[in-house]
Amino acid sequence: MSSVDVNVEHVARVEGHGNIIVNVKDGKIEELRLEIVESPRFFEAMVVGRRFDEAPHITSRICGICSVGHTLTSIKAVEAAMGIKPSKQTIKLRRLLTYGATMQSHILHEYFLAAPDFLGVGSVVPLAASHPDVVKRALWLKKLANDMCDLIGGRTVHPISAVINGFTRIPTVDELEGLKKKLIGSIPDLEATVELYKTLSIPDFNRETEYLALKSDVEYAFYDGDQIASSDGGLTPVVKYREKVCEKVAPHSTAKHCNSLRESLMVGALARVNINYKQLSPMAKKVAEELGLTVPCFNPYMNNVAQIVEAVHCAEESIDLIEEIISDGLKKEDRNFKVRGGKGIAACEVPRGTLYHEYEIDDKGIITGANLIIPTNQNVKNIEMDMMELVPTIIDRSKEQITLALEMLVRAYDPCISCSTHLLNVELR
Amino acid sequence: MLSDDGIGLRVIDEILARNVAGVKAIKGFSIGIDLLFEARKYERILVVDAMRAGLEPGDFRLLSEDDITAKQLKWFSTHDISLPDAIELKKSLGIGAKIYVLGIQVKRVEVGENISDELLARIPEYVDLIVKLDF
Repeated sequence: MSSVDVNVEHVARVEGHGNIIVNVKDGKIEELRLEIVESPRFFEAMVVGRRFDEAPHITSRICGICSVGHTLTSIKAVEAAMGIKPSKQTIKLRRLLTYGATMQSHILHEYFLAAPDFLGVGSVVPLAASHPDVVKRALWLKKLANDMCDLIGGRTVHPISAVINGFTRIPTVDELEGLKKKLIGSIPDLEATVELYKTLSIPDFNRETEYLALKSDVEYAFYDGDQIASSDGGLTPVVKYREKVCEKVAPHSTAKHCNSLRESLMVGALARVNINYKQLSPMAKKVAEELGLTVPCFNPYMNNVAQIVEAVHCAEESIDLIEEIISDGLKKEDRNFKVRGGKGIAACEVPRGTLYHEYEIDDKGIITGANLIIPTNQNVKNIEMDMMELVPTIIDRSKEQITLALEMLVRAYDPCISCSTHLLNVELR
Repeated sequence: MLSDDGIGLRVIDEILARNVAGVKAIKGFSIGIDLLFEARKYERILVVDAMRAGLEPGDFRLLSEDDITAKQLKWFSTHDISLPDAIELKKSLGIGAKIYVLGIQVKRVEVGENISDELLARIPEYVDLIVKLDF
């Protein structure tokens, strides 16, 4: 087939609304774009004029799946603006919360949104009949990760106990011991997940791009990392993120496009594994090897495998971290701090990539300016460029096969396009 | 933060304030996979949400599982798997709880914290309906 028109309105099984438009005539791509059609969210404008302590609650509403990441990044940015240094206990609990949030997002994405493609079904529903154990395992792992977020953050969606300079509720030793036991119990299910992924056929497509991820001296960076590392070399302090990540408005997209040294860049699990592979936990490294993920990897479909690797990493690291927290002893802490004006920039690695929050706050604690760069914004251009290179290599396939390959490519990035509302559009007959 | 999109939360706040026996009101989770975890614990679940269905602002419809999974309806998956898929999955897994949706017609969903007066005025009516529902 040398000519094909692919027009996927509202790509299924991604968070939010995006369209794929690909028109090929006589082997030449005439039109190709990933349209992000979500209404602009205006969160950067929304927090201006609000109190500093409202920012984490407001920005957590950007998305239900990513709300832990937004909450923590927002808190860090406010703390940076006011010169607040949270305690070691607070940081450890935030790291634990981040592990839980990463696990719940990756499990949700891999099992319920991505895996149906690889198992030849249109959604997870048929899997309940054909692969009931797979679905039950997925639900159990998601529930465990939710329980982790509920325990540490007060709630999985829009966490409420993580606040500026601490937590409003500290888990008890018994609760953490219980969580640790469940995490240890989850290892066979994670191993079964790896065995499942060994049977899946990941499309073979490679396009080199620039990968960006936070870098930490002490760990595989999720909650913290004060440098932005590039696969093209170099480290940029997070506070200079605007020099590293350039945002541009794209006419066909309500999400901005980003690039750095090249025309596009990629963030997310594959970028993190490419850059911080050596800091993965022992079990995660073994899983990467078993699933054929060697670095550098330029296959965007392997972002799916990278998420499984990270889910295992988070489980293993959480067990060790809980032991550390219990050994340190848990204590109620003084969360008081002096409100003062300043500019604060912070970044976290959230499930889909590097998230940046920047606030300017006046002496009364009112936010006067804000800038957010969302991971998926950083990936949108890269997805388009992947599609541009992929389409000619599969142009001889049927329209249905080409459409599926493009949808799977978009889904592999696990984009969080973010809903403008969770309004239900219902046609009553 | 999107005007009438928040009506569900306001209704839940009112139910929480009333502390109705036999009714557990929950805020803050997405109606996909996570709904299945709640469905394991209860006999009936009612999701209260904003809806755009061509009705007069403030009017509402109580949707059953059959309504929700009907092919004619358009459901956008926003946070994870769609509600119809969650219901089908629930049935396949043998989880018995029945899921209903109370959809309240919005007037506007632009950026803003205020709910339209037409909806605000009927919150007591929505709450009474929910509390007295025998389904």
